[in-house]
Amino acid sequence: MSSAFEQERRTAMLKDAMISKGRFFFAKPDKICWETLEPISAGFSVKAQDAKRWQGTSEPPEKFALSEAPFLQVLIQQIIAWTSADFSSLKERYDLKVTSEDPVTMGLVPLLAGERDYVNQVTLIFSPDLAYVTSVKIQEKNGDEIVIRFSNAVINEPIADERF
Amino acid sequence: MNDSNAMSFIKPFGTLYNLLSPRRKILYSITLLFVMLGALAMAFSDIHEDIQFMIPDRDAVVGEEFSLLQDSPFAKKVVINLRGDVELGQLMAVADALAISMKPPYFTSVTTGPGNLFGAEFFSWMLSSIPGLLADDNFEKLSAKVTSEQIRERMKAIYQQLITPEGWMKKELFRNDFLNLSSLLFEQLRFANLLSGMRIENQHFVSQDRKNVLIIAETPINGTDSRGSAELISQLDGLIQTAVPQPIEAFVMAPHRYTNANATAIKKDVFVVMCSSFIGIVIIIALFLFSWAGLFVLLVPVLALSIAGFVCLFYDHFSAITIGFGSVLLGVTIDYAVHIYFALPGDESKKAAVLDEVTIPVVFGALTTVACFVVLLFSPLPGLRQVSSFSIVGICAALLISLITFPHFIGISSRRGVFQKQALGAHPHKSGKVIVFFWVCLILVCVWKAQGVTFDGDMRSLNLMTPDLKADEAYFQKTWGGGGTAMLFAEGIDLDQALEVNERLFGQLTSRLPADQIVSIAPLLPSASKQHKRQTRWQDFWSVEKISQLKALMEQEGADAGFSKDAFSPFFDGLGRQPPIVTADILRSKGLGDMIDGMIIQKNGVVRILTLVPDNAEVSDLYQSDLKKIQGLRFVSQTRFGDHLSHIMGKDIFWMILGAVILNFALVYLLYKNVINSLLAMVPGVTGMFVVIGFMGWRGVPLNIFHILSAILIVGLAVDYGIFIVCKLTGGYTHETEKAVLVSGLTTMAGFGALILARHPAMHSIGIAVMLGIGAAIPASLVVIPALFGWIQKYRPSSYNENDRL
Repeated sequence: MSSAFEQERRTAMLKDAMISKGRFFFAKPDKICWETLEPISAGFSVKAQDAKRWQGTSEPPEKFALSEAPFLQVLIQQIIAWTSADFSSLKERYDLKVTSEDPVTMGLVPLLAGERDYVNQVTLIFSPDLAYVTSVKIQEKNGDEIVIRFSNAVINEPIADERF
Repeated sequence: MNDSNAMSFIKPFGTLYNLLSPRRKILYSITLLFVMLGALAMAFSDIHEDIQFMIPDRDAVVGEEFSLLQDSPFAKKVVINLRGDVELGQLMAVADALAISMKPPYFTSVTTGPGNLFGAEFFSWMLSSIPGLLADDNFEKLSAKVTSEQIRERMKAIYQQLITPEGWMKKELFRNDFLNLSSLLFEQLRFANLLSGMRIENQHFVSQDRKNVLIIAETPINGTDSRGSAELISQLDGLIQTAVPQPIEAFVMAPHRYTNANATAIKKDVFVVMCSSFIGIVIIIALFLFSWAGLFVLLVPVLALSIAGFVCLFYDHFSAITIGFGSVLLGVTIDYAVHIYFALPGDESKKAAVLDEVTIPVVFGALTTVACFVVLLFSPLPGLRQVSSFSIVGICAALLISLITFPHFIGISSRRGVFQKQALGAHPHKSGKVIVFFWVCLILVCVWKAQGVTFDGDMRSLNLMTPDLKADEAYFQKTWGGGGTAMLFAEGIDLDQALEVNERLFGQLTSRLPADQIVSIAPLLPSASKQHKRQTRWQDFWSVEKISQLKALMEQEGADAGFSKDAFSPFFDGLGRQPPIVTADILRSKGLGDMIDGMIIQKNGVVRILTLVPDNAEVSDLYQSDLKKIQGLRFVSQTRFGDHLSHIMGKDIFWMILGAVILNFALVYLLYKNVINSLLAMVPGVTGMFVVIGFMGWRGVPLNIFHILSAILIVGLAVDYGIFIVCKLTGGYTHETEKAVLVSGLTTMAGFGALILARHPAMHSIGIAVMLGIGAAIPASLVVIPALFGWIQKYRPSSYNENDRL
C-alpha cells in the first residue's frame, strides 16, 4: 500500500495544531516507510529489523536496529495493524466497536496496560471497500490527539525496494 | 668411615632375613595387610581436585589475593556465546531455549538479557535521580545548556522531532527533560558496562555486529574444581547439542572450561606417559633383570604407594594432585629393590651378610631422598607439603619392603638379564683428567648460563591452552571487549565507607586512563554524602533567580518555536521536588541487580566495591605511584598475583634447594665421616641440578614450581647413585653397583622422563627436568666419580687411603 497523508496534531505543548504532510509506504510483511515532506523533511523506514531515520536533508539517514528503538517498534506494530485493517491483530490489542456504518468507523479501546495508560481511544475510518483505513484518530488520556488522513491510496501495486 | 662402625648401627636386616626365612607366609601377610589398610585409608579419604592446594597458605597477602581473584564478576559465572549468520531473532530464540534448559544443580540464575531495563519507568526514575548523580564536571555542560542560544536551538529541535511519529511518542520525555540532561547521565553510565562491546536489544545481550548473543549463568561449582568442572562442561555440551541447531555455534567462556581442558589433557597425557613408561621399563627389565624377581622389583613402588595412603588419615582434605604427583614420585622407590636385586647372591647362606652390606648405602640413599622431601615440608604450598609427607611415607615403606620382604623373592636362578654377564666396573679411568676437565667445563658453563634463569610463579603459565580455547578467547575479547582486567577493591566497614573510597579511586582513574578502560559503578552509585553534596550543588545551581530566568527564556524561545507557555512545566515542577537518594537496593529494583551484586562484594564484615581496569604495566605503575595512597584500596590482578607468588616462591626455593643440598651433604658426611668422599657422593646430584638450571637459563625457559620440585628430587635421587658408587669405590665390594645405578637411572628416566611426551606444560616441565637431571647424573656417577676418585687417590698419602675404606 502507498498513500499520501496529512497529519494534524493537537497537544497542550503546542500553541497551535501541528500540520504535516507526507507519504506512507507499506509492503507486507515488514517493510514500512513514513516520510514527512512538509513543513520539514523527516521520517523513518524499516525493513525487517533494519531501520533508518532522518531529519532534514543535510545529514545522511541514521541506520539502526529496530530492536534498539522500543518506541518505534510499538508504533510500527500499531501503524501496520491500523492501516492494513488487520482485525485479528487489532482484536488482540483493542476492544473493537463499530460506531458508524457509512463510512465504516470503528472505535478501538486499548486493552494492554502500557497503551491503555496513555491512549483513550483510537478511531479508524475505512475506505468504502474496507480495504484500507482513510483516517486514524488517536485520543490520548491527557487530551492530546492526532488525526492522520490518508489519500490517493494505491493497493497491491509494487513498491521499489529503495523506498525502505 | 670405618666399615665395622658403619655396620654396627644398621645391621638388623640380615638378622631379620634369617629370622623371617622360615616364616615367609607371615611376612607376606603382614606386608599385604599394610598395603590393604593404606589403600583403604586412601579410598575413604576426602579427596579434592582443587588448584587451591597449590596456592601458598602461609602468606596472608597471597591467600587474600587469591580469594579476591575469585571475586571477579565472571569468576563464578558461565558465559555462553551463540553466534551464526542468521537472523538476530533466531539467535535470541535459540539463546532463550538453551537458557531454559540450563537448570540446577549445575546452573542457577540463567539470563539472556537484563530484563525490562531502560523502560519508561527506568527513564523516569533516572530523571528524578539526576540531582544526586550528575558528576561535578557535568555542571559546566549544564551551564552551557541554559544559554538563550542553546535554548533556541533546543526548542527548534524538539518541535521538529515532534513532527515525526517517534518524536511524538517522546513528548512526555521532552516535557520532563527538555534540556536532555538524561544524555549526560547515560554518558556517565557507560562506565558500568562490564563488556564494552555489549548492547541491549529486545532485552537480550547482543554484540555490536548483531551476530552474537550471550547467556550468562551462575553456577555453584567452583571453577578450580576439576571433577565438578568436567561434569558441568559435559552437561552443558549435551544441552548445546540438543538446543542449538546448525548453523548456529555455541562456545563456553568460563573458568570451568579451562579447568576441564587441563584435566582432560592430563588424563590423555597420563595414558600416553604410562604406556611409554611401561614399555621403557619393560625393555630395561628385559635387558637387565629379565626374571620373575624383576617383576617383584616393579611391584615395590606399587606396594609403597598403597602404604603411603596412611598419610590421608592425617589430613581433613587430601589433594588429587598429591596422589597423582606422589604416585609418579614413588616410582623412584624402585631403585632400592634394584640395588638389592643386583647385590644379593644366589647362595642363600650369604644373603643375610650381603643384605647387611647393602643396607648402609640403600638406607642412606633413601634418607637423602627423604631429606629432600623433608625440605619440601617447609614449602609455603599446602599441596607440596602433602606431596612431601605422602612421598616420605612411601619412600620409607619402599625401603622397608625392599630390605625386609623383597629379598625373599630373589634367587640366583632368576637372574638372566641380557647384560647379566657384562661387567660395568667403576674404577679409576686412565682418561680421568680429561673426564674431570670436561665435567668442570660443563659445570662452569651451566653456572654461567644459570645466571639468566628466571622464575615464573604464575600458575596460569602451567595451564594448557588448547587451540580452540585460544581462538574462542580471542574471538570473545574481540566481540565483547573486556578480558585481562585487573581489579581494584575499594574497602570499607560498610557500603557507604567503601563507596567513598570508590569515588576517590574513580576520580584518579578518570584523570589518568581512557574512559573505555574503566569499569566502575561510582557514577551510578555515589556515596550518600556525595549525593547530598551534589543535590545541594544542584539546588544551588537552580536558584529561584535562575529558574525565573530560564522560565522567561523558555516562554520567549518556546513561543517563537510554537510551544505553549506550560509546555515544559513538568521539568520545572521536578526542580521543586526533593530528589531521591540512589541506593544499591533501588538499583537492584530497577533491574541492575546482576551488575550491582557483581561489583559489590560483602564478606567477613568487609564491603568491597570492585573497579576493573586493564591488567598492564601502566595501571600497575599508576597504582604504585598514586592509587596506593588511597586508604582502603586493594589492587589485585593475575599478573600481580603471579609476581607476588614468584617473589615468595623464589625466596623459598633458594632456601629449599640450599636446604636439600646441605641436608644431603650432612647425611653423606654422617655416612662417610670424610669430606672428600661426601663431596664425591654429591657430584651426581649437584651435576644434575646445575645441568637443569643451566639448560633452562640457556634456553630462556623460566623455572616453574614443577622444575624446582624435580630439581630437588634429582638431588635426592642422584646423591643415592653417588653414595652407591662411592661405597663401592671405597669399600671394595663386588656387588654390581654400577649396573644397579644404571638400571635405577634408566628406570627413573623411563618413568619420569616419559613425561616429556606430555602436552600439559606442568607434566612436560617435570619430564624435561628429570631427563636432563638424571641424564647428567648417570654419567656423573659412573664416569665422573671414578675419575675424580682416581685423581684424588693419586695425590693422597697412602696411609690416608687405607683409613678411608668404607
